[in-house]
Amino acid sequence: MIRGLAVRLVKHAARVLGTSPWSEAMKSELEHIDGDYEALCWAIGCVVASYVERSSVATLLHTPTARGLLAVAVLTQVLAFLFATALTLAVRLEHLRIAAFLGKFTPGDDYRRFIPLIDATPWWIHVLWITASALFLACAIALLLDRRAAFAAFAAAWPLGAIGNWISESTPVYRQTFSFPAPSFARDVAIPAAAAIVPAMIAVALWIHARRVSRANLRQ
Amino acid sequence: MGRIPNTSPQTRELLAALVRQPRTWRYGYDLSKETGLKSGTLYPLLIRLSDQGLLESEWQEPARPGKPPRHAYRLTPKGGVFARSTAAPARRRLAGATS
Repeated sequence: MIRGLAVRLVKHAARVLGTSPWSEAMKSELEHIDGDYEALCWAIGCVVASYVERSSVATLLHTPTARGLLAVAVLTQVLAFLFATALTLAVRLEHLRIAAFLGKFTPGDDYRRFIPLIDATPWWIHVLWITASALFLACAIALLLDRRAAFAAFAAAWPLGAIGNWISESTPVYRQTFSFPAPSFARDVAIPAAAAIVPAMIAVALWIHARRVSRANLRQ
Repeated sequence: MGRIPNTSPQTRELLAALVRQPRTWRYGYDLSKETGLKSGTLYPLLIRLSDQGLLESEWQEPARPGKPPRHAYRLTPKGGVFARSTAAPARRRLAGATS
C-alpha cells in the first residue's frame, strides 16, 4: 500500500513536470529504492521538486496559454507601430471613414488634427515603423512556435520603432499637434508610462522564454 | 542584491559529493543518501546544474535485472573546475574560523 502510494505520487510529479528526462528519472529511481517508507519519502520529495520546477516563471512561459497571451501583447506593438502609417494611408488615399474611425483612438478624437503631422512625416519613418511591425509579427509567430528567435525579433523591432517615434516626436509639428490646453493624467502620464513599461515587460518575458527554450534544447 | 548562484550550502554539499569521484556516474538516490539532501531539494539542484552545463547525465542499464534503466549523473569538465573553485573558498573560510 505504501509502495503503491509512492508510485502514484511520483507519477503525479512526472505529470506536473511534463515531458522531460527528469520526470522519467524520478519514476525509474523509485524502482531502485528497496524500503517502502524510503520510497514514500522519496516520492513526496519528487512532488515538491516538480512543483518547484513548475512554478518558475520560465516554466510558466513554456505553456501554450502563457505564450499565447504574450503573443497577444506583442501584437499590440504591431498595431501601435502600424497606427500612424495606417492613418497616413487612409488620409492620403481619401478613405475618410477609416481615417475618422482611427481618429477616435487618438487624443482629441479627430484625425484632422494630425494632417500637418502626416504631411511633415517623411516616408522613411513609415519604413522604420513598418519594418518594426513586421519584426513584431515575426516575434509573435516565433513565440507561438516556441522558438527562442522571438526575443531576437523583438530586440530588433523595438529600437527600430523607438527611433522612428523619437525622430517624429522631436519635430516642432509633433509638439504642436500634441499640445493641449488642459493637462490630463491619462494622456500625459499613464499612457506614455504604459507605452514604455509594457514593451520592457514583454522584452524581459521574451528573454526568460528564450533562456528556457535554450535550456530545454540542451537537455534533449 | 541577487543571490550568488550555486553557493547555497546544499549546492556546495552536492558539488562536493560529485567532485569526490568526478568521472564516476552517480545515481539520484545514492547522492541523496550521501549528501543528506531530500529528493525535493536534490532534483531542482541537479536540474539547475544540468541547465548550466555543469552536470551531464545519461541513462544506464540497471545492475539488477527486472529494474528500469537508471538516470546517472556526473560533473562535466567545466563542472569539475567549478566544483573545486566553489569548495576552495569554503575550506579557506573554515580554516580562518578555526585558526
